[in-house]
Amino acid sequence: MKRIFYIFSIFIVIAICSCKKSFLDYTPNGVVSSSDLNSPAAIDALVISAYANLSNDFFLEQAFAIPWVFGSIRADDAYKGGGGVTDNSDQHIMETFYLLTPTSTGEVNGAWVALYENIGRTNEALRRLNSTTEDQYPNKKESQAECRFLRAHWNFLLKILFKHPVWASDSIAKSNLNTISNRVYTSDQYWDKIADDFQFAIDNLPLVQTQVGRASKVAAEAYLAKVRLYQAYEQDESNNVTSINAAKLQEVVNLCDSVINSGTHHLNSDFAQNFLCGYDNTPESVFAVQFSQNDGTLNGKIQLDCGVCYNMATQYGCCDFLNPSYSMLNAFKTDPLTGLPMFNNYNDNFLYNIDTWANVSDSALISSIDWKTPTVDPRMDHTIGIPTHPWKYDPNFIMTKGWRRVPETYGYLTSMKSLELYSSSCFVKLGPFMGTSRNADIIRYDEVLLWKAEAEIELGQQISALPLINQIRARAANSENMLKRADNTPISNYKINEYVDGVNCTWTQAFARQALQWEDRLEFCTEGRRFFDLVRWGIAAETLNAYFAKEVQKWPFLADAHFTKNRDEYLPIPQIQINFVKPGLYVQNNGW
Amino acid sequence: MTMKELFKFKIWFGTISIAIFLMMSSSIQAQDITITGKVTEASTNVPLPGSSVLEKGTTNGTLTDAAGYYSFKVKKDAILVFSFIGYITKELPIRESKTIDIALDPSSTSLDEVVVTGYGKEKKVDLIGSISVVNIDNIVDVPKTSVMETLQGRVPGLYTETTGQPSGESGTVLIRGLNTLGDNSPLYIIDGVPTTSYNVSSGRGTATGSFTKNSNPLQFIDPNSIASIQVLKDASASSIYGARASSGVIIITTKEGQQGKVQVQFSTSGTMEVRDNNISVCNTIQHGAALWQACINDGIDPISESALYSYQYTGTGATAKLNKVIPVQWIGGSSDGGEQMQVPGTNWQSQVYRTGFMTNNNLSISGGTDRSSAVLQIGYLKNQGVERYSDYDRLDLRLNSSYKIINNILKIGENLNIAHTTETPEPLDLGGASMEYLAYYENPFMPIYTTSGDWAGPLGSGMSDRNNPLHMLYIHKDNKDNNLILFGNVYVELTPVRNLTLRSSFGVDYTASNNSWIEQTYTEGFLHQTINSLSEFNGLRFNWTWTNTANYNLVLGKNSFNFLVGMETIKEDYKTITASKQGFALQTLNYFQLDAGTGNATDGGNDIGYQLLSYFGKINYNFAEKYLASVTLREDGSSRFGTNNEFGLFPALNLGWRLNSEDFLKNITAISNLKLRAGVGEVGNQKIGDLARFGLYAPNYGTMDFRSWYGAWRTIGSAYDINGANQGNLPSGYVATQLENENLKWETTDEINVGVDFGLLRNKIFGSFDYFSRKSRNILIEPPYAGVIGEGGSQWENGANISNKGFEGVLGYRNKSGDFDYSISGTISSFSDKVTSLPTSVIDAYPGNGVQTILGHSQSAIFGYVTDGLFQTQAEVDAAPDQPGKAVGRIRYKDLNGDGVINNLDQTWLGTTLPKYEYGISVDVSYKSFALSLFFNGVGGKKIYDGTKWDQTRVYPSMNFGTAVFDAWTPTNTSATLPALSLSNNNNEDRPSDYFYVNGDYIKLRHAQLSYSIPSNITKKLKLEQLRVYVMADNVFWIYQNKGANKMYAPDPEDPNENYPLTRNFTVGLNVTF
Repeated sequence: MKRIFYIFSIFIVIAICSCKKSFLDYTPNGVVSSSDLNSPAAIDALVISAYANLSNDFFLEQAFAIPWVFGSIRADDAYKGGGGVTDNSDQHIMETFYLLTPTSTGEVNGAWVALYENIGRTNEALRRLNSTTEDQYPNKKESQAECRFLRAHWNFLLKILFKHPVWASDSIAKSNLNTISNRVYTSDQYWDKIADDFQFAIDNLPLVQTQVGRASKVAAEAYLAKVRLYQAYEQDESNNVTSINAAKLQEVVNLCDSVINSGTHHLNSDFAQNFLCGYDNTPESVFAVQFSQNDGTLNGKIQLDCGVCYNMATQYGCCDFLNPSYSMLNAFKTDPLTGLPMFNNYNDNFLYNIDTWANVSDSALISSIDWKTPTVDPRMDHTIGIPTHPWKYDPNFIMTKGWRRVPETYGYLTSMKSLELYSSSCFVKLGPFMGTSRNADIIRYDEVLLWKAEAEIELGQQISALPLINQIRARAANSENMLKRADNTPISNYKINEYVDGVNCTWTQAFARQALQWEDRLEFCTEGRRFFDLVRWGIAAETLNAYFAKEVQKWPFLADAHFTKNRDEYLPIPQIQINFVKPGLYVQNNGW
Repeated sequence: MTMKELFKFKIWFGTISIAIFLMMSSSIQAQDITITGKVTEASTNVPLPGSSVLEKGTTNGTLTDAAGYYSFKVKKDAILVFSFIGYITKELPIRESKTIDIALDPSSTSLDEVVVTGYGKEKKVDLIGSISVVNIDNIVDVPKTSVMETLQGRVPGLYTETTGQPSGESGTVLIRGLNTLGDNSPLYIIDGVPTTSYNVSSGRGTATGSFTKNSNPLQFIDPNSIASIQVLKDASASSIYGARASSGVIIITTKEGQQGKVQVQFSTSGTMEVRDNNISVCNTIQHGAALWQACINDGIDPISESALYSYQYTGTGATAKLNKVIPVQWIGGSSDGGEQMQVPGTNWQSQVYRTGFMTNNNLSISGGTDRSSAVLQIGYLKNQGVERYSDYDRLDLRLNSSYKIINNILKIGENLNIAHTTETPEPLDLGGASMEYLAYYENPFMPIYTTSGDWAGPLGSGMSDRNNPLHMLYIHKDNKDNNLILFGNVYVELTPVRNLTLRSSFGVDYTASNNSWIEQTYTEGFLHQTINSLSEFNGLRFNWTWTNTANYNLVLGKNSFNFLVGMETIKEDYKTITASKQGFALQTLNYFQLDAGTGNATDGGNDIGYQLLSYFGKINYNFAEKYLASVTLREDGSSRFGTNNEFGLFPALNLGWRLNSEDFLKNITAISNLKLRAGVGEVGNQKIGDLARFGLYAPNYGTMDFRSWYGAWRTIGSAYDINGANQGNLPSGYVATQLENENLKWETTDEINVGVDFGLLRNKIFGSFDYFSRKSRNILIEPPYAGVIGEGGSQWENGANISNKGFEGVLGYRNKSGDFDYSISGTISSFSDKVTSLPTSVIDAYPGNGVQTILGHSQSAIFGYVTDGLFQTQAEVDAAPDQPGKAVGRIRYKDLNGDGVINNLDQTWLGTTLPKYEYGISVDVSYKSFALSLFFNGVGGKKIYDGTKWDQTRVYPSMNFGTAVFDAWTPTNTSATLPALSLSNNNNEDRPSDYFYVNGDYIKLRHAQLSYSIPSNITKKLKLEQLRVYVMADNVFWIYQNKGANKMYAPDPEDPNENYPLTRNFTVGLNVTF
């Protein structure tokens, strides 16, 4: 018996002794620590990781490839759409402005967080690049330039959304970034910080890249032109445009010229090629998000930003967001005599009497609506899906009223540009949502032309802008080939002309400015640009409140919509972000 | 109940009835003799009038007269059972004698019970911590998959919520409320092996985004195999489990074989589960009428705007009158490809739900000698829940055995439970809507099938992107989540000298999950699934625990000591593998194997774990059965903490005083038991991620963003098509995932507990009361952080403090009068927690508005607006404070800060989602062989978010809604509490407010059971030891406030949010022992 006792006691003693502290050692599996990531290969991988956020794209927090949530439904381009006002109600709140507060939507905060996550990846790579030498890593300068290009891109979005964001620098330790105020730099200095990054990119990047996804010198020049254009319209603290800086405008002209003269880019022959599968990285595309499918990720890295914007046609089925507004439809009207936009009276009555369609069946629409008399800009049928019209260039894919989800709230129009025809090889259906592996352009050459035109006009050299605007209009006029019904007749009655000074217009600075603003509106409708254009020009309040006054006659959901001047030009800094840092560190934007 | 379901029930019921009838019909009467005698009290020889004398196993019995005498007829070989309340029951065989006098000893009734505490046993009378012992007899018959569900309301201080899921998945399980900011679930000790509830991925999650189920260890244990359940509530009681005991400990011991002849027990029950959660939703015509009203209110021409109806009506605005709703004939345009409009409409609730049926069978064989014992149990439970196809079954096998060898010096034994469960997880529709939501709100005009017999779905204008729920249930019915669970331990016990026991136990907690999910291609209305796929999930959870203890008893005169020292090592490991493939040429169940897919393939996997190393000791001291004390000390080290703070030390001290043993109380016979208790103790918590302290980067190629519902779609990976190739393998990088914190340390909870146990009038009246106050500090939190830090900025820290106070009370009365035995007892418990400090940067991640914060309020506090009726006139609207969207017929919100504008600052604390108090009342009555028990349970001081109110009372044009919409405000229905119908929400009425948070108090009759034991003279003839039948109703009725502004739209206050329905159950059951 004693023997058993001893054996057992020894057994316990061994047990206790063998389980010393080393038992608690634990090495995590499947992860890497910071020090593992300083090799050139790892740094290359971190740069790729920074690019990857361009295509980590979705229609809520990370809706930046095509920023329709922030730039189109908040403008007179489009209604939010979807299943009703409570469907993604954060977007309804942004669209109607009056309910927006620093705490009222998660999506405003989501955008802030996502943009800093994107910047964070560029800084992760930059911190390692900064501490390496060109001997160790010959590509150092170029990689730095690419990271700074991407960082500037995200900062540009932060700047136009929030006016006073925080400059998250790579020279500050990650865990200390929450000690930095959003007023370290003035608004103007912040623009300069963004410009510095682009300038570094211009100085260190090759003119074009063999890997098309990478930022190039031309892309950096174009983007810097955009930055300087926004910066040129100087705003006071209350967001009033107080003056337009001629030196900055001249810089815009010079940078645009550099892009134009580089010989690397030109307009596509047909406007449609910007919105079709198979035309990725065409000469018109200056910098684009590279989307892909069948790439080893769960769903493919596809453009899901507009994943909810497909309509209710049997081939799609969801969710019908981003519905062009009736005012926007009217804006495509052209003067039957001159073929120019109807600047002043375009909104007097509804094109095709669309306000009376509710009682009309699809078949009656075809027979009773006068499609032939009103003259329109062909870009209408590239942009807006209209019942009885072929959808997305397929003559046999005719939109019906039944494609609309809640017409009693959001009318009869659907969007098309960022969407894909169901039979396209780029189209990917993911349950209720849909995406495309077609690229999304961050900067297109047509934009560059119009930036230059805008700068010339504001410099008083409107005559130099005339051929640029006409170049855009000429291309639009030549973009009717794909706009055909099954019987090969044009879908609508297209009439679009170039501006001819002294013949169909008097090309004064005021007129040129109006022409430029309309060209922007027509060329980029539903692409998420319009709201930021209106704020840049300083006309957001008057434009949008007039729009609401017109539209509320038709749509109760806009009954209380109101743009508060000197406040709604920018989103509020999310209250939760203000609370995350020391009291007083972040200063809220004016009016919030 | 459909005919098929009724038939199923009839077959089961018929089989059981016939079996009983056959047994009964074979019974024959036996010969009797008359026996007489006297019953007295042992110490005083005073007669005990009114004592019960019963022939064992029968209802044949009598009572003693005023002088303690009895006389009655019994069978020759009978055994007599003598009992008197407050005395120990005795049994005597009559043998040859015709006179039996007997003296009964007073008992302290259940106080002599032995209770399993930490690493040992104590007599209940000696307990000084706050420990509740569950009465197993009360719960063993309750037809639930998991014992956890049965415990709802039974144990004061243990608060549970049920999910209604057939798997018995637990909702909230709280011991003494909220004690930390994260996971508040308790530690479970099953036969000495610690385990916790844990999340396991469902197969559905691999295909449709993160979907995990919380597995509670009690889900896998057959209730029939449980011998005892103890709940250790206060820190002084649970500190022996120091490291992980901060949320309390539940100790389960399973049955061992008893000495004596081999006993075979069989129990079976059948339960009908009836849903009582019908919501009155609109039919097609009503749907149209409500849309019409909303258009009229909004000033839109209703005829012009509906794709599905036309209307005949007169007038406009307030004078508009609807004469007729004329639905279109075809949805989606025309008969060509369209679907037939359903009038009066499809009842989706009756499509999604059925009458549930559960059968539970258990066979147990047990026996033992003085040298060995063994139990073998086999159980099979099948629960076909009320949602169509939501089936669950569990097959379990238990083998407990022990052997004493070498002159009883060495004991070797094992407990083993093997369980296999299969479950059909609930599908979601394509857009992520739940079946419960669709059962209520799928459009009534949509048919189930098209005219050609295919599945109908949403089509054309006026519909939402929601699937036909019956179709979703049908095509996902073959997806299964399987779990194989092995749980048990092997132990050796050595008693080398008297009073010294050395014990070593090795326990294993193993779960192998194999879950698969098939998505088929289909077309349903305009919705498609264009790619079919199979996703497989494999998870291996392997935890082991090695416990070594030494236990020594020492008696020195009136002093008695018990010493315990021990050490324990625990290792947990969880390895997962996921794989999925697309593109299957055939859509038959057999063909869906990964090898057969030809499309896109993805896979993933991970391996995480942690280790614990602990040393502990405990001394129990007892002086003259009067003064009790115990001291506990435990030191725990965890690999989850950095080397700086691996170890935490958790002490406890307990004192007890048995006043009834004192001379000055000994003679007061009215007081049979009185004990005062007090304890202080400290317990810990380490419920953080296994890798919480590390700074990490991960090579996330195409990782999905599972931070939100859209995780099934949005990637946050690091791969990019930098070459513009549009497809193929992409270059990829690394992303930061977490900041390191090497200083992370144990979270600690300190608790003071004082209590009293009492028994009066020979313990006819009994009760206890406990008061506790606890403070948790250095609470482990992973606070949200400033966005500017960027990705991977999250960091665990020891940040917050909370406090929690409360009490528990039990009061009961039991008595016996002849054959009539009854008891009534009530429990009440209460807790109120308060967040006392938080890092300033995270305060606003909790409810509050910057001015008012969560500090000083419960974690479960609700913050929102206060409503003040509806605006009746334009004058009222104009006079009211500035409220964006205000209008006649809309909700008026109170301007709480009086600044003339309704904004964020006009919010206040509206109550808590957890109850302030919970109570239970049990009534048990038995008469001869009949027993009736009723159990009521209620909560008070609770607010619930009446989630269905929003969906029921608004007009959401592309979905259905409740008929409650017709109670809404109109110019002629001005006394309404529901605002006017509208297609817009201009007044932002879905904001959190007391419009949605309503009084959630209720009292429920949770269980009612009537049982009958067949008399032994019958069972004997059947060669049976015992035969018992019972009927039971479960979740029988409830009373709750449901009027005026407090009207609750949810049909059951426990089930307010369109979750899996809670059911009313009816059970018939049988237990037989051979």
